[in-house]
Formats: sequence, C-alpha cells, structure tokens
Amino acid sequence: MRKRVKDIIDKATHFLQKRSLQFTISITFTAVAVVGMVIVGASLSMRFISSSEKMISEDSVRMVDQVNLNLDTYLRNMMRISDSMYYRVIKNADLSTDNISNDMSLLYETNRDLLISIGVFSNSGKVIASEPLAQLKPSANVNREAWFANATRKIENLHFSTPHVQNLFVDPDNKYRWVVSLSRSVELTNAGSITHGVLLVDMNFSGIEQICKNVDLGESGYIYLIDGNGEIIYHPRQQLIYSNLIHENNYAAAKYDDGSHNETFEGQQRVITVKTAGYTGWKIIAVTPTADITSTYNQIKIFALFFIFFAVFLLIFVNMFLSSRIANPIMELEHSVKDVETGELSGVDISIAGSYEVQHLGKTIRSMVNQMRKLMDDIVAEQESKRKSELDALQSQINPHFLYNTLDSIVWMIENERYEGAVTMVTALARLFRISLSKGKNIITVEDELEHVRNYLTIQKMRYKNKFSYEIITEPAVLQCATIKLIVQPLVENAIYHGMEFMSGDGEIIIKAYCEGGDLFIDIEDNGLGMPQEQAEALLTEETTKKRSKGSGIGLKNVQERIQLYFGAEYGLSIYSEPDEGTTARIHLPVKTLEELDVSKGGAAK
Amino acid sequence: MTKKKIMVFILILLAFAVSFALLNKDRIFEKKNSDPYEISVIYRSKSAESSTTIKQGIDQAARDLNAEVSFITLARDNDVQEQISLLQREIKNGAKAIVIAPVNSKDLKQPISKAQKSVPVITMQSTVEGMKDLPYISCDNLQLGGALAKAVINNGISDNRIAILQNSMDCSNINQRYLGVTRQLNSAKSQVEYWNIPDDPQEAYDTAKGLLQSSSADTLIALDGATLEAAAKAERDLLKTGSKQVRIYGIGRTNTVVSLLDDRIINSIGVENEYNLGYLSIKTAINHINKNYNTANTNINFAIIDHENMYNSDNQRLLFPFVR
Repeated sequence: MRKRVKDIIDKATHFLQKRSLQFTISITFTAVAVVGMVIVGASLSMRFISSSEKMISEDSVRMVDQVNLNLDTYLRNMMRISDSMYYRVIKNADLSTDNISNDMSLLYETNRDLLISIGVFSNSGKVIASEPLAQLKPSANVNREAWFANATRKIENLHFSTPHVQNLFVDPDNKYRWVVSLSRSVELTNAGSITHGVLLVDMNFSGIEQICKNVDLGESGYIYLIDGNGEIIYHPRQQLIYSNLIHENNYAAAKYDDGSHNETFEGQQRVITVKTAGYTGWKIIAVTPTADITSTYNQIKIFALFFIFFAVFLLIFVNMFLSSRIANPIMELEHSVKDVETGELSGVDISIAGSYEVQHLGKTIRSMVNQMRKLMDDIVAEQESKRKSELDALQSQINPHFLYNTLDSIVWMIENERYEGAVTMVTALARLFRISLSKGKNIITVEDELEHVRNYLTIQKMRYKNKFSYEIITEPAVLQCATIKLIVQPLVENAIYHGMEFMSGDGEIIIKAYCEGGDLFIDIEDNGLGMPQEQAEALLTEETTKKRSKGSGIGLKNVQERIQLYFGAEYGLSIYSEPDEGTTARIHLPVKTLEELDVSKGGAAK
Repeated sequence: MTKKKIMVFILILLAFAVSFALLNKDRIFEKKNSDPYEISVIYRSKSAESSTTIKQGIDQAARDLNAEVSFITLARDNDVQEQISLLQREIKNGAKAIVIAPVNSKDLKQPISKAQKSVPVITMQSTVEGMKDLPYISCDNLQLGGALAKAVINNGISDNRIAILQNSMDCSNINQRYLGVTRQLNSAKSQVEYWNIPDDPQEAYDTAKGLLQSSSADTLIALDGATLEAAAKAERDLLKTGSKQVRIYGIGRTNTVVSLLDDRIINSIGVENEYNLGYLSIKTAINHINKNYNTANTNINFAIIDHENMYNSDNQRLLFPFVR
C-alpha cells in the first residue's frame, strides 16, 4: 500500500517535472483548493443533513408526544366519565328503587361533545339505562358484541375497543356513527343483592380524528394510530387503506418498540417514530418519508453544487492568472538564457520583469552576460592583436637567403671594383631596411610601401642581372593612402621566384597602385609561367605547408590574413592567373589616410 | 492572460449566469405546476345523499393529487338535456377534465365524443356504450347483478314470483345489472315480472306501494339505490298496516337503505365501493390530463351484504364511510 502511494506520488512528480511552471502552479493550486472546498462542502453538508435529520426526528418525537398527550386526555375523559357513572351513580343506586336515568342524562349532557352514548346493561345484555337513545334495535344482540364479552371476561379491566359503527339503538335519523367503546364490568345493586353488569361509554371517533388530523409532519408526513395487534384505529387515509387503494405497514409497525426506526415500505424509505399510548396499548406512529427530508435540501444541494462549480471555475482562472504572473517572467528569463546558451551574446536582451526576486535574478543574469560579453570581446581583441603581432613579426623577417645573396653580390661587386653598383645596392638595402622598420609602425603610406618594393626590386634586378624589368605605375592620389607595410614585397618576391626565375629574359613585373570604385588596389603583374586559375585560387585558401627553398617564407595567405585582420573580411588579396600568360596578384584596400585610420581604429593600427 | 482566455472566461461566466437563471426558472415552472387541476364531475341524479361516499373519494383524491373538483348534480334525476348543457358549460368554463356519469348512451354519445376533442372525459358508474376509447370507472355491473340474483336464489325462490323494478334502463350500468340478474334468474327458471318505477322519489314510492298491493310478487329486485329505497319504504309502511312481507333485494346504498337493511325490511343489498369509484375517477382524469393513458378501465370491488354480515369489519367499512 505504502509502495503504491509512493509510486503514485513519484508518477505525479515525474509528470509535473515535465510540465511548465505555470501548469504546475495552476494545477497544484487548483487541486488543493478543490480538495479543500470539497472537504469543507462535504463536511458542511453532512453536518447540515445530520442536523436536519435530527431536527426532523426530534420534531416527530415532539409531535408524537403531543398526540400522545392529547390521546391521553381523550382516554382519561372517557375513563373519567365511566368512573363518574360507576362510582357516583351506579354504586350509590339500588336499581329496584332508584332510577339512574336522570343522573346518566345529566352526565351525558355535560359531555355530549365527546359522547355518542352511555349505557348500562345487565349481565344478560338487557338495557338497564341508556342515553341519549333508549330503544334497543330488535336485531341488536348485546351479548355477542366484543366490548360486552371483553368486559364480562375480565371484570377488573377497562376495555377500549377499536373504532366500530354504533349499532345498538334505534335512531330515527338513520344515523350510523363511528365510535370507540369503553366497557367495564360493574356491580349492580338490585334490592340489596349484587349482580354484574356492563357499563358502556361510546365516544365519538371524530375526537380521535381531531387529535391526529392536524398534526404537521412536513410535506407528506403523517400520524396514524394502531391497536396492539396492528389494526388501524385512525389513519388520515383510512378509507383508502380500507379500499385497498393504498397500503400501510401497520402490522410491521405493531412490532416496533418505542422510538425512531428506519424502514422501507413499498420502495419508499421512511422514518418511523413509535409511541405506545397508556391504558390501551395503542401505538401512535409518525411517518416521515425520507424523501421529504431530502427534498428540503435537494434544492440547497443543487445550489451548493452550482456555487462549488462556479468557485472552482473562478479559482482555475485566478490560479491561471496568478501562475502566469509568476511564471511568465521566469519563462521569458529562461528564453533569454536559452539564447545565451547558444552563444549568441551580442543580441541578447535579458528580460527584467515580474516579482522582485525574478527581477533581481534577471538583473544579475544581465550583468553576468554583459560581463561575459566584455570578457569575450576582450579575449577576441587580445587574440586578434596577438595574431597581428605574430603575423607582423613574421612579415618583418628578412629572408636570410636574400640578405646573404645581396651581401654576397655586394662583396662580389666590390671585389670586381664595381663600386657604383655596390653603392646602389647598399643604398637600396639600407632604404629597404629603413622602411621595413618604419619606426615600428605597421601602417605606412602607399608611397613608402612602393618605395620599399622599388628598393627590393633594385636589389633583385641587380642580382638577377637584369633578367627582368619592372615598372611601378601609381596614381598620385593614392600615394598618401594608408596600407599595411610589407604586403607588396612578398608578392613581388613570389613574382620573381615563381614567375621570372625560369624565364630566359624579358621578364616583366608591373606594379600598379590605383583607385577604383572608392577602393584602393595594388596590382602586381608578371608575365611569368602562370598557373591554372583554380590553382591560383587555392593558394589563398589552402594552408601552405610546402616548405619552400626560396622566398621570404611567408605566404600569400599571410598577406591576406593581415589585410583582413586590419581592414575586415571584405578586403584582401585575389590572384588571377593563366598558364603561360602570367599572374596578377591584386591587393584590395580601403581608401584611407593614415590619420583617418588612426581615428577609426584607435590604437589598433599602431 | 491573452485576450482569447479572457473571452473564454467571459463566455463561461455567461454560461453560469444562464444556468443560474434556468435554475430559478425551474422553480417558477414548479410553481406553475402546483396550480391545481380543475376537474368537473357531472353526476346523474339530483340526490346529494346517494353520492356522499363518491364525493368523499373525490375529495380525498383532490387533496392527494392537487385537484380542484366541482361536483355538479342535476336539478332533475336523469335529465339528459341538462347533463349535456352542463357538460358543454363546464368545458367552456375551462375544466381540464370531465368526469361524468352519463344518463344514457344514446343521447350522450355525440356530446361526449365532441367534448373528448378538447379535454379528457372519464365516465364513472355508467358509460356510453360503443365508445371504445372512453375510460370507464365502475364495478363489473354484470357480475354485481348476477351476484345479487344468486343471493335471491340461495334464499329459496323455487315457487316464488319475482318482480324486477325497472328505472333508467337506458343507463349502461343499470342495464348491465339487469342483464346479470335476468341471466341468473333465467337459468333458475323463475317467474319474473317487471315493474316500471318513475324517477321522482314520491312517485316512485307511490308506484311501488300500488304495485306491492296489487301484485302477487313476493320477491323484489331493485337495480338502483333510489328505486330500492322507494320500494323498501313502501314495504315498510305496508308492513305497518299488516300486509304480508315481501323479500326485497337491491343494488345501491343510501342511509335509508342501510337502516332498512338493519331493520330487515331489505334482505340483501349489492354495494360497490363508491369511495374507490370517486377516488379512481379523479385519479384517472389527472392521469389523462398528464397524457398518461396507461390506466386501463378500472374495476371496482363490490359486495353483497345482508343483515347478518352488515357489521363485520369489511362490510361496515363499505356501508358506513367515515364522515369527516
């Protein structure tokens, strides 16, 4: 059992873990509220039901007690009349001399509302005196009447009959009345001798009816009266029962003890309250159909259900609203953090909304992201500058072969007393170095860069014994534009080594610096062996791993990378080549003066 | 909270409001339902006394089943024209159902079938013969007549002359009783003569008295309460003058009839359970108003009561209803 509960809880937790915060909050709040409401509603309604049932059963008991009291009075009246008749009239009279009719008449007149008749009968059933009618019907047979037989059989008792039609006396109005008879055995004094007789008091049945009729026991509750055997004495629908149109559970009720009972009769549940009346053994039965009790609160039940539904519905909405107020800012925050997760730091706007805690969280995350962004920018900048430095350093390296060969050439020239050539070469070399250094600047003017190349070409031309010619064509406008230093020289070096070296003569290198479409271009054209265009393009994309015996050791890719690091990806190097036709390396740069570059790039260009 | 959600919220709120209104409307409907059923009962005779028990049953049903019953007797016994005009008047006055004891089949057939088109019509005691779908509340009059005739035969009639008192023979229940009686008597091969008794009580008394004096019949069979009462009264008065006693049998219950039975002027009477008759006719009428036609023609119980058994518990309940 415990395992089962644990399983259910685990399942619920697992289920909720997969759901959104808003769903979890609203479903939990609603479930808790509904359970609470149902518990409160159920306990209240149970209380209400039990208290109203108690009230109704107390009502029934009170009513039954009231009826019992009234019935008691009714029966006592009968007994009082019987007692008065017996002890005050009959006991005091000697029938041989006294006439008891006058006293009887007086007693009858005093109680005529209650009485139908009084009669004294001899042991043989003969009328001694009777009121108000005196003549016995010829057909009347007193001895065979139940009340007479009972009185003579048990002479010490008072005997109450069940209701019956009074049929003893001749009534000129042909009236037949329902009566309850009280009979008792009496001692009659006749000329000193004592004989037994029977005193009969017939009380109007409507007296009992009056007692039971106006009892209010709810919508369809009622009271009925049975004798000890279960025979009905009074029932509000007595005639219908006698006519078999409806039925009553009277024989079963006769066996009930005093108090409240629940019974089901003809499919109807009812609460029965039983009280046994004194003297007679009659039972007063109060019947309250359970439907009566329930119908009073059925309406309330419907309304309660209606309001519970309404409240649940309101609760669901309020919960949804509240949970959305709580969850939405968190969800927005979560979305922002998801963006951060993808690494997209620059465009992320961390939302700051909702309650104080969530706002605080948002603010913290925002400052964290900013910090991260800054750190990452710093790292990128650092890496860039590191790379630039590396590339610049690499660029600055002079091919030792070049230097050695140049110096060798100079030595050779001096030895052969070609001082002029040596001077030219040494001068060019000196200039080359001076521009190479450029006081440590990386950005120089196009003029300086071309000067550097010119010096380099001067040296190389002398070394290669005029194997090639060169020409530098510049637009005056571009001379003062800024360029990265030492980007043209490697290209020229390539043109010489790969384009000119294997040529027999007539090698030609043309360097053009010009402006076009707002940009600066520097072309290095040779008429060397050339190569297929694909190969030319591959030079820029593939890692150049081939070790080369000649050249400065720094490839085209290096030049390309440097340009892009300084000016952006839209600038750079492009190679156009055709086998046996020659190759053109084109440097593409923005048109900017040194000052402009200083302003826009800050210190980056230094 | 999106706009859509707020719309849903308002819609559900409206649904709640509508259902709340409907709930209240139900209560209003209930109130309407508690208006009593107006039912008119049109009786066949003018005597209120002979219909006391029926009326008690009707009143009980009216109380139990929430009906408002107007009980109408005729100004003259068995007046067809008056009964027809009362039928029309009651429908015009807005009765929701009519309970009627038709005076005869011939004259009432057309007005009743016309009335049936607007309201349910229930017949009690007597009916209109030949109308199949007309609900009819009564005891089996054929059996009642037969049972009475058996009581006559059981008292020993082999050499006696029997007179059957005839009145309102057009009336279906009396006709049935007559058939029941004659069927039994024919099989017993009795000598039977027929006396025609008029409607008016005094005339009936006089006629009966005259016929009692002139006829040699020593057993009378009356087929309804009024005739029985008139004949028994005449016999009682004749007995005082020293006439020979005739045996009187009859069907019907009035207080006088019961006292004459008690006085042994009447030998036996057949009594149908009139209380049930009244109760069930109203119940059937209400069922028909509510379009519940399942109640088949209902048979009421009856009993043949003589002087000896009139005070036993069952019979005294039948003979002496509680007077409320």
